[in-house]
Amino acid sequence: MHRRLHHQLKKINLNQTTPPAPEEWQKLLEYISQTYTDTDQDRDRLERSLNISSYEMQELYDNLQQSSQKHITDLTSANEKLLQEIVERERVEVALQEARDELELRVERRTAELKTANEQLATLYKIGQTITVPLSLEQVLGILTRNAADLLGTETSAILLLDEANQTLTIKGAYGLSKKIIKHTRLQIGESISGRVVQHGKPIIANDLPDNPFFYNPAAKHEGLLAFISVPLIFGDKIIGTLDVHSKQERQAFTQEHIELLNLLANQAAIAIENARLYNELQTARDELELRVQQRTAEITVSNEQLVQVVAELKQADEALRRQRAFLRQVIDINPHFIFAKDRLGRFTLANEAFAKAYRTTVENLIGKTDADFNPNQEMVENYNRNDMWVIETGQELIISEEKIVNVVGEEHWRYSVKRPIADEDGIVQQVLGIVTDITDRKRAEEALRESEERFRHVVTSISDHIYMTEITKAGQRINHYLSPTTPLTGYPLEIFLNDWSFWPEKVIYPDDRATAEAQMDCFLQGESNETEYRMIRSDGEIIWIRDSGRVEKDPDSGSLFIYGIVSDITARKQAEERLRKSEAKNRALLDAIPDVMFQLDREGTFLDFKSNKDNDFYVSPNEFLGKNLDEIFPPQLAQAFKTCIEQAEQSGHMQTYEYQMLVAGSNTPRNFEARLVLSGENEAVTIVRDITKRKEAEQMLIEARDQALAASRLKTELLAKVSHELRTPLGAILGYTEMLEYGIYGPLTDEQHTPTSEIIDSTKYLTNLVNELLDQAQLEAGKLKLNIGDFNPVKIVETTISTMQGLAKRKDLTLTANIATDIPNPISGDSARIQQILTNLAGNAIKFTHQGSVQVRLYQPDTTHWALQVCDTGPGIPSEDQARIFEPFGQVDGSMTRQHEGTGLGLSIVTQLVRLMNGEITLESELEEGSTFTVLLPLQQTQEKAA
Amino acid sequence: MTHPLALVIEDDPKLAAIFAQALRTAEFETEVVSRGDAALERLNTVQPAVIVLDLHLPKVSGRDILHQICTAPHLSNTRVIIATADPLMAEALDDETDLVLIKPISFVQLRDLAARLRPPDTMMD
Repeated sequence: MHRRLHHQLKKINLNQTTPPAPEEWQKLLEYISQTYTDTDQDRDRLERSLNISSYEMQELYDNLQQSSQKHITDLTSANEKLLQEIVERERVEVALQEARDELELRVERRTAELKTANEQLATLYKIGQTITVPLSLEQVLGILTRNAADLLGTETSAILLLDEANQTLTIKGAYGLSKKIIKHTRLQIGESISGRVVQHGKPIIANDLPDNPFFYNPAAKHEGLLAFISVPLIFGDKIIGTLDVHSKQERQAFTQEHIELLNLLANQAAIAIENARLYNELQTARDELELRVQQRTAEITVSNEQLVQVVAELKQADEALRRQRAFLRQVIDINPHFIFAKDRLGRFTLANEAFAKAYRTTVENLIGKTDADFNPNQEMVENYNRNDMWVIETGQELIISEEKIVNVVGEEHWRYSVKRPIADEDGIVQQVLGIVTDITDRKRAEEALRESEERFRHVVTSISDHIYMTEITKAGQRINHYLSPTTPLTGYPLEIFLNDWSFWPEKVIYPDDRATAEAQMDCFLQGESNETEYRMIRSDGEIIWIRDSGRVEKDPDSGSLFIYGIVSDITARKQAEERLRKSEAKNRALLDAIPDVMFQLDREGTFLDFKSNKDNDFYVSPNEFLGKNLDEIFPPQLAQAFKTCIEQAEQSGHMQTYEYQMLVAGSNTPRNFEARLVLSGENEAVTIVRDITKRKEAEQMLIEARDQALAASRLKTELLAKVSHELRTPLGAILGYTEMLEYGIYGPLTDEQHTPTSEIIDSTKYLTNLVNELLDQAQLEAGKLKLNIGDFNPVKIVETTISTMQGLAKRKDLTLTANIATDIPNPISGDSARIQQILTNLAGNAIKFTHQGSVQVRLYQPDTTHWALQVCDTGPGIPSEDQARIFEPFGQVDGSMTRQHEGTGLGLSIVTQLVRLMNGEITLESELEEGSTFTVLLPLQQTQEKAA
Repeated sequence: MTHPLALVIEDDPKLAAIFAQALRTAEFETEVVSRGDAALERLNTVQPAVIVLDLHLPKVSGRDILHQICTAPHLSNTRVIIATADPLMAEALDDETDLVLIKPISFVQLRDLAARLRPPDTMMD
């Protein structure tokens, strides 16, 4: 309710200063009364609906009453203010009517003024038009001064311009003024009227000339000027001068309007003046420009000529550059190093032939391509590109001093690479230049050197020689620096020598040789290199010979002496020298003892030297043959023989022997000599000449004796054959007749007569056997006995023997048996008659020497290549000392046995020789009182007939 | 009935007598020639069954005679016993003849050997 009322109040604008209209007031009052009615109803309604307490309602009601009362008070005071204002408004309306009347009057006056002003503006416009045309300053100033005088209706005017250089005002343009005033007017700033206008920038009117206190211009005294108006000429913010208009008329006085009018002109004038000045300046500038253009043209002409020259020079330079480029191209192409350049994409922009060749392509083909186009090794290509890009990105040089790569054909190489950034004109790195050197050879050389050093070190450390380095300082201090182990040589550990330099001279060197070693050290101290041999005592007490060879160097900086030495064990050499010395002494003694003559010849046969114990050995005296050739000394045949010997010795490398006869001085019979020639050096031959005359004689005697012996032997064989032959015939007669007697051809014999005939027959057979054996022996000795090889049955041999000998055995009551192996081969190759002879002989002997018991003949095969005949008896046996001898001719155990047992003593010897002839073997096993066993071993294959 | 002929060619009369006796004992008709040339002549006319030949003969050697015997057609059946004092010669001739005997020659041995070589008796008239 309050709100609605308040809203209504607001609606009627109670707050406005303007009082509300009466009908509004009426509406308001009605509204208020209605509102109160509504309020009561509302209150009731509220009371009913809200059950608000009447106290509270009363309070609310009181508040509303108070509020309404205040509003009525406020409205009443506002109404009074409105009534006062209406009165004031009526008064203002009257004043306005008065002002309008005055305004109408002023409009008439103003219209007349505007008409004049319009005319003036037209003049100004004309002036403006005139002076905007480009004119010289003089023309502009002339027009301006005339127009200024016309504008203000006077006779004279002037324009004074400020000379900025000396801060003075002078008349630059004038109208109606005398030349005198124009010429002499010169004002300082602040001086006279125009000076003051310039000083303050404000117009000045002086209508009281010439008495005006500020007017001071002596030049203007006689011009008759009475009024004076001066306005500043302002261009931009700068005062450039004044526009002055004067009047000589008595009644004329300048006003503010004149100033405004003149200001308008002055504004235009300032622009025109500045324009004219600018024009003047432009004119001047154009003239200057023209002049400068002319000058410039001349300059350009000169410059052009210079330019032509420069172009020519440039062309020359360009040609030189082209040649230089070609030269550089050649330089990089003949360069064995790889030279290339790459852009940011890894494309080659430059390459030399060596590089292209490494990629098996041409330079032209390489340009624009990348490593990946040629190198199948992806890892390597990535590595190249990484390095190259690093150089381009960082702009830093990259040096790879050693890089192992495997080239496109799989060979291993070492390379040295330099990669350098190349910047373009703007200093931005766009390319990388690479120079790659193949250092494989150097690496190999280094490797070889390293290996060589290694080997050298190995040699140094492995040789048994002792290598040392001793430093002797200027102060005399000795320091041992040992390079190789000393142990193998001295047996002492290295440290001893390193710690104590005196150990060597005082403990190691053999006492007797210390002086020698000291002398060597003195040499070293004198700076002389030296090699000395002396003895030393090893740690195990052995005394050995050493050679100490040292080289001395002086260090110029420290003054120290350095001794570099090698100590070698020369014991073996010393011993060899000693042996050699002894050997030489022995040889010399031997040579002295030899009676022979020795010559030394060169290869051409010139006598170089000789050695003899007696001077008379020689064919001619030594003085005559020394230095001479064989040809000049010996008879031609002999000289030639010697030379042949030298040649043959050279060819064969062996000693040559030559025997010759020669007459020597003092003898008529030639003597025999033997020359032995042997090469003794590069161009030397030693000839030993021996007198062999006596030996020759002895040899001759021996030859004769041998011939005699041979003749005797032959005679013996012949004699034996003859004897054999000649004995057989009478033996045949004896045997034949005795047998005929025995057989009874000549009549029957008594028993007593049979005995002697039998004895004769036995003796004859024994004699015959004797003759046969002698003949066999003779033939064996003479080597004439030959085997008659053929096939035979060995069993038959045994059987024949047994049957032949059976009677003989029976006579002695001995049993003779045969033991024949069943596997004996048949036939066997051999001389059956001789084998029969062997067996008969052995069996006969057995029977002969055996007194009781038995004799057994055995036939068997002891191995696959032999067969054997064995005869065992139960006889007395053969003493072991005699067992070898019985196989020799006439080798029966003793002579008594021969006599006792009969026989030549040749039988067993012949058997032995026959067995040997058959490449067989005969052995004997015998025990005394037990018996003997003879075994004949014969080869199954009797292939070769062999002379005895 | 006639005994076969045995010719003894031996210059030693004693040995010739012994050989002849041995051959007679062996029932041969015997004839002795002491010289080589005579022997060759005789051999042209006779055809002995057995010849005992000494190699060591005057005039013509035993070898020549042996050669004659071996080549003469009418002597193709004649058996030859060589009697020699040279054992080397005996070995050399062993293959060329029927029998080689080395002197001294046993009477009994010769008689027995000759008997083996003796052809049957021939009937005459």
